[in-house]
Amino acid sequence: MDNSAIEIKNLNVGYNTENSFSLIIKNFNLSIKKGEIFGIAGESGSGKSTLAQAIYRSVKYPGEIDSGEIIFKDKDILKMEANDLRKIRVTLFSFIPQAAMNALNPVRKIRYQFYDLLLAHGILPEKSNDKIFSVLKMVRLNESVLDNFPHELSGGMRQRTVIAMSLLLNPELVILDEPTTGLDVLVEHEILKDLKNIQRKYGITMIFITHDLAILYEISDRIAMIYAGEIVELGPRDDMLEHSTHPYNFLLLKNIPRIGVKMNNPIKLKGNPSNFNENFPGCQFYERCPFSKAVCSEKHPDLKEYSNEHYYRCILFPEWKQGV
Amino acid sequence: MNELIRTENLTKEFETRTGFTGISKIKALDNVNISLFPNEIVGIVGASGSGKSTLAKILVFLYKSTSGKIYFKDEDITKIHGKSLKKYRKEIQMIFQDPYASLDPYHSIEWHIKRPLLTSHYSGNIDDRIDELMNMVKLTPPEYYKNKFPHQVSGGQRQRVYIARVLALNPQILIADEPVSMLDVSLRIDVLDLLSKIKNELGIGIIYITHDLNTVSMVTDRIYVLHNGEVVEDGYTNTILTSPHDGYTKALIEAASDPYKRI
Amino acid sequence: MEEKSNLNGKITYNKSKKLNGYTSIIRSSLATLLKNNKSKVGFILLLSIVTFSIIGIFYTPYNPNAYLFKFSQPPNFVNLLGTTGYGQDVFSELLGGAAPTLMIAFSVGLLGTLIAVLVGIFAGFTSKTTNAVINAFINIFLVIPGVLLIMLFGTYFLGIHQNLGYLPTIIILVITGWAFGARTFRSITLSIVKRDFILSSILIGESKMSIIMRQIMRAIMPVIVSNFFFTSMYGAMGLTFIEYLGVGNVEQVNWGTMLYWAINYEAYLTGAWWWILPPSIMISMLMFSLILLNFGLDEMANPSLRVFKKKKRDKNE
Repeated sequence: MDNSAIEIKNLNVGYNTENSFSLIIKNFNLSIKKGEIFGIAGESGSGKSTLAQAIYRSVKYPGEIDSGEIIFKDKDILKMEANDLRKIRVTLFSFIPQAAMNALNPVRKIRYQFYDLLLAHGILPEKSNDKIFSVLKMVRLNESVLDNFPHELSGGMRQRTVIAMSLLLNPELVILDEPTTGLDVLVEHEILKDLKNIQRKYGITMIFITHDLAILYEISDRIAMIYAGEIVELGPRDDMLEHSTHPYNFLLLKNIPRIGVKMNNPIKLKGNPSNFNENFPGCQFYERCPFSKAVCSEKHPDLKEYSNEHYYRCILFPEWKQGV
Repeated sequence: MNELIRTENLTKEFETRTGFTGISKIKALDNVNISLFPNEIVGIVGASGSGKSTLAKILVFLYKSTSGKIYFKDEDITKIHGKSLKKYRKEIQMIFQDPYASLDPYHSIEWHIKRPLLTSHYSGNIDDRIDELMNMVKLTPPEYYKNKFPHQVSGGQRQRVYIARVLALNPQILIADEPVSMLDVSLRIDVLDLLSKIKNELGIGIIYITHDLNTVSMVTDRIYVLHNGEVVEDGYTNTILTSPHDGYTKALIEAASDPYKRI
Repeated sequence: MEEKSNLNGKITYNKSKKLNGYTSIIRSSLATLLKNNKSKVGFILLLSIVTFSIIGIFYTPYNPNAYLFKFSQPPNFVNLLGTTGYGQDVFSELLGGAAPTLMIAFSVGLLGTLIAVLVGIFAGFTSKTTNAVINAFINIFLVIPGVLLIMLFGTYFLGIHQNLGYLPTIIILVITGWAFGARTFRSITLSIVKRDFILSSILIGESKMSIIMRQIMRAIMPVIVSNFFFTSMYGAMGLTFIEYLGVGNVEQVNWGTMLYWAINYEAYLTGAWWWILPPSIMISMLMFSLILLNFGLDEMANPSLRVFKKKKRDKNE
């Protein structure tokens, strides 16, 4: 596939614990197209943040990438020399980790944090002021923020600063992990709109990771739902919304309160997220699924195609959907 | 029926030190008038910094108001302290935003529900009452959860434990400060349903504080929209959400997330 | 830690094992302490030193105070660690001097921590003004130079031709040693009482005493134990120091006075290593065991310090 921006093949990522190594991301395959906003949704413990870190190869101990390939520009990121990897980070693809806005250096003015980033890639900052101004303009920040310390800026402005930094060297791919969590509703909405505008204008590929399904559906072109480290449903946003094929996606959408929509006792998910058993032979979603049958606990379902580019991991589809 | 609680021109100023000697005042609440009746859920809606959490903390007397009055069942309680404050606190309880922080990590779930029964000198059989409370918040079977510690259960269950803890005091008012914002999407609706259920079954008045208009539309009867410490709009939830007058309310509605919308 | 256990897919069921009262708390924390390698080594080391000192109370090969042998004999079968420049048996002195040394170290640790906990928690959980007053009080004690105070008292006692006994020594060390811990406890308490679970207990109607005993003490238990180890170390060091300076009662036998006499006799010039090294090593071992216990405690309180080796994943499990 030529138009894929990044391709993940058979990725396994796990965590070291006192007496075992347990997998969080299992045999993960995904191909992200150039110029799309790809949304990854999952609840706490589903492995979505670990996945983001793995793509940027920044999984930290006790997490560890076990095996797999991540092909970006015909090269396997996981096999790259550290030095080569450093060179392509930020210049070709960048990563905004969770709560990055709180990770700005508190004792350094924003200007010098931009300069540090440039110097790290061998660019003389003095000649790049125009570049800095232009990315600040992209995220609708005033140039005066350069002379502020991080604590003098509001949460939204800091998040915008972090986004500007990630865009500074014109990357083709940006990974955003929960970019708006902890921000005010109004600010969140503005930033999402700006992100979408930037993405459309410059054709950047974005991987957008969040637990908030509503905003994910608002912004994404394609969406993958992750449960227990596996894709349970993957497809174009509209298809996922109108023709849900996996109970998880279906029920989460039904369970989101919306203004002006009365909920008449919707079917609810059972149990709690993040109680996964690695060695369970059947469907990982079995215990939480209100439609599950005995057969679900016996065989692990494979990812099947529903329609063009729309995949699901459920044995009972379309059976369960007739019951709703 | 009379109001359970009513505030009259409630104002709160915070003093912050600037430099060595300067003190500047910030108004967190500005002449706020709200009221709550039994058997209703009232929403206080606002973005961060609107003063909604300050209001909650003043109502449970964790902060003192700068001026204005608070009435509990027509009785002026603005200046209560000591014994009468203790008595009042039994009637008004607060549910915190983060269930990971509001439960003591070193104590079992049973302990959390037992303590308020002991401090309020509950007269009946304490063990039965604990079972009853745990059944009410759907922590069933109670035996399964009793000896667990907070870190062994999910966020939604922690919030239930906390609700059982405050219900043990038989309060007439609950103040819920963003009770679901830290929870996973699939668990939120259960906790919101539980709030509606205790309102209906126990006739408790609930003040639901949030930034999320979606959940407000689901559970509340009336809302107050708070902006920079001032109530900019108030009325029935449906009326306000369908025909808002204030610009700020409109902006909040426009920013509310909805999977069927497109940015 | 919590996330890890979740990801591990194991839910531990707590079988109606109720942990009530502080004895069981101490027992359970001791069990966790021994799971850590560092603290295990420290604990075993400390235990052997304590055993050594207990033996010394009841039995020493010779009277440690009596001048029974030839001067400055190197180690041999009669005198396991040789003799001092005055003709005492070094091993007997080492054995007999262990108990007083440990006794002083741990009494200073215990008393110092007790005062620190009481003052610290009270300061952290009271009104702003009281807190400020207590804080000033703590700071005054913090700046008292311990050494100077010891010298002052010691010379005063020498001046009136009396010796600084063990009790005055303990008192001086506690006076100069509690303030540091109190400051720690004060700041920790200040941060804990702002946490939601304490606010919740206040709203529920718990009394201050109940909150302190049931919740705050519980939360700062690792710090209390750690502070006990540190203050004990200060006690052992302080004792050695006092005795080494000769301001204490040099007739008493402990590891500090052993060093005092060795230095006094200029054992380092005569090459009598068997006189200097044993007490030095024992003091170092005591310190080392306490430090190891503290390290282990740190790793317990902060799981991110732990390092595991990657285990092979069994795919057919």
